[in-house]
Amino acid sequence: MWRLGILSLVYAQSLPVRSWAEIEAHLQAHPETLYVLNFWATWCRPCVAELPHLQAAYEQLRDTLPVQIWLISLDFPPQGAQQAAALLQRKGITLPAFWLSEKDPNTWIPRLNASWDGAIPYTQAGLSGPSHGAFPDATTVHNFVISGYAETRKPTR
Amino acid sequence: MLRLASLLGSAWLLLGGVKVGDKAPTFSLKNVDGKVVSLADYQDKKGVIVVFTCNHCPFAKLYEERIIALHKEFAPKGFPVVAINPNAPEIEPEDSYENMQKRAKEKKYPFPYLFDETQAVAKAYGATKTPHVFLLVKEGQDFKVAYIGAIDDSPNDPQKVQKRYVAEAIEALLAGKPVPVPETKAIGCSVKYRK
Repeated sequence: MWRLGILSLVYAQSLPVRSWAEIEAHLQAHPETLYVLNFWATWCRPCVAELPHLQAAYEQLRDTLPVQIWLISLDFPPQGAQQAAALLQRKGITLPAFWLSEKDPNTWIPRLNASWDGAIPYTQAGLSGPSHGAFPDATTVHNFVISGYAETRKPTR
Repeated sequence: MLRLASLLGSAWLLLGGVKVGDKAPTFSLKNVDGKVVSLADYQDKKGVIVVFTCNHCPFAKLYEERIIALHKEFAPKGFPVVAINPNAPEIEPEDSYENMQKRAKEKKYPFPYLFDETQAVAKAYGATKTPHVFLLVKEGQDFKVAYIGAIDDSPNDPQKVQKRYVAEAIEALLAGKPVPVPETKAIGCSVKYRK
């Protein structure tokens, strides 16, 4: 138990830091996978409340669809990446998570979706798919991901 | 079922609301002192800085002092602040009318802090988060929306502000010039709308 505690502490140190350009480039380089991007922060109560729904939906879907759910923390510097990592650790959330190193939302939000004004939680299917506010349960996440997958993969035949 | 879910999912983005250049929706709401404050009470002003804000949101807290400073700087120039709490207290108890009264008293708000109990005003403006600024300017008999968005470009560190969006918009209006940046994005707590 004691050992596990130490191990957890090490694991929870900090989230990997990404710029918006890096996230965008990764998604563009992997068009076969649907990346569902969830924007959240530890200070945002509805964001924290929906994390288990995102985790549960991902666990249901991962064997049937090429899908990833990424948690992108908008917590404040300088401690944001550590605070976010600690919360995810505490809640048992294992989805891939990053801390976004952007200062001014006006530089990157318009590239993602010009009609999103920055209210969180906010989740979007890929770089151009549908978006969603707070999720009340895992089923809603599940349905959102499936319809997002269908919409971002319109038949090319 | 899927379609319904995705329709419901996008509904939160389609609350309606105003765009820059639109006529500002009127309002008559209860202030923390129990009196009703209306947009019509501001007929003799050059404009109004309408800020949807609340008690609980950490972002709103970060901006609280700066909202007070905006009022102190621009009320004498004809642009006072009117703060409106749009949140449903049954979803966010910290944003109840009683807690608004406490907060306004503690922090000595120099401007009205109104309770949008039915959330109709927030919906008419299209407020999606706190804080969310709608800068109104008097044009003839009407108020028009001149700017929508953030207070400045550095929420967590007032020392690192480079662009004072609201202040710069007012300065432009006072000089008879177009608002340099009429719309901005900002991260914020979503407005707690009833389902």
